[in-house]
Amino acid sequence: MKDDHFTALSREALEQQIERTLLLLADEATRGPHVLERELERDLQDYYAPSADQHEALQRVWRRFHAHQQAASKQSPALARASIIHLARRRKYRQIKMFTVALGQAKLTRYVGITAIVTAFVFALGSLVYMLARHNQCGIRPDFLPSAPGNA
Amino acid sequence: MFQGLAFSHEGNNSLSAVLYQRYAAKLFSYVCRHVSTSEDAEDLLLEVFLSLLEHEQTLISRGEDEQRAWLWTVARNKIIDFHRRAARRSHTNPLEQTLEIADDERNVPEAVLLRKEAHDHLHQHVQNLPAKQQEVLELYFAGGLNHVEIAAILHKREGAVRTLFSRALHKLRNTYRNGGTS
Repeated sequence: MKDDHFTALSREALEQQIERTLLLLADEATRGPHVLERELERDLQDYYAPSADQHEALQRVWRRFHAHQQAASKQSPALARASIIHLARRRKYRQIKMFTVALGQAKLTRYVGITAIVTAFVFALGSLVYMLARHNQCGIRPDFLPSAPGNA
Repeated sequence: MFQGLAFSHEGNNSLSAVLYQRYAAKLFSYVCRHVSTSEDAEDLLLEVFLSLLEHEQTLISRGEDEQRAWLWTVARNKIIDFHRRAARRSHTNPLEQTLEIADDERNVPEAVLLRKEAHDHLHQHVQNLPAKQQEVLELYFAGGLNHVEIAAILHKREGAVRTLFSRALHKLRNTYRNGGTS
């Protein structure tokens, strides 16, 4: 029973296989192997081809890309401005620095001037005091003074 | 194919606009086959063109073939990065699996599902090919790239790519001979 069933199935399968092979041989004989190859190539191209319903998705991506592009182009002048500000700040800082240095130099000059004046004043005063003292010394010890011709 | 879209934006003749017009549809289709959702595919396509924006000055002097190969290389790398990030998040998928076409039909974009239904028989046989053969076929038919460009993208010799391609076609041809198409 089992063997009969198996034989029946095998025979049926075998007949189907033969029928299919004959059909394929006939098909290849009429169409040729190149036709099958072309068919395969066409099917592969069709299988991998982009579908038509991508339109909206592609539009969305393009809009997002365009927004990025515009943001990037807007960002560039801002960056340029930032560098100008930066340079301006640096210039200002340099000016402040220079001004501070000039201010310090002026103060120093003034101090030196005052010191010089004070020194000159002290020197003049000292000279005056010294001369007066000398004059007083001469007054106390008259023997040092040259004697009058009548006294000799 | 992708004519008449409003992305020209009043005479935008920049390289990015020209290349988007020319390759965006193919690239999107390519990315769609490797990611789980259409949103992810859109994000990746945007990333590809943002990379292009960064390298526009370099690419402008290159030939059309080189520009096309560059775009597909970037797209492929973005897909690999995407799956690497996803694998890091889930700690389950090894990197090798990421190169294979997404088979989980619950997450595959609708357009790809429809394509699979229309070419069910071919799809099954393509899926049975080794991953590298699938990739070569995809870059050839989807990207319109030649063997030299594919070799550059996959970091292989041209001869190796030709062998992979002819083996893949030979297998598919045999299935066509034996079983016919859908």
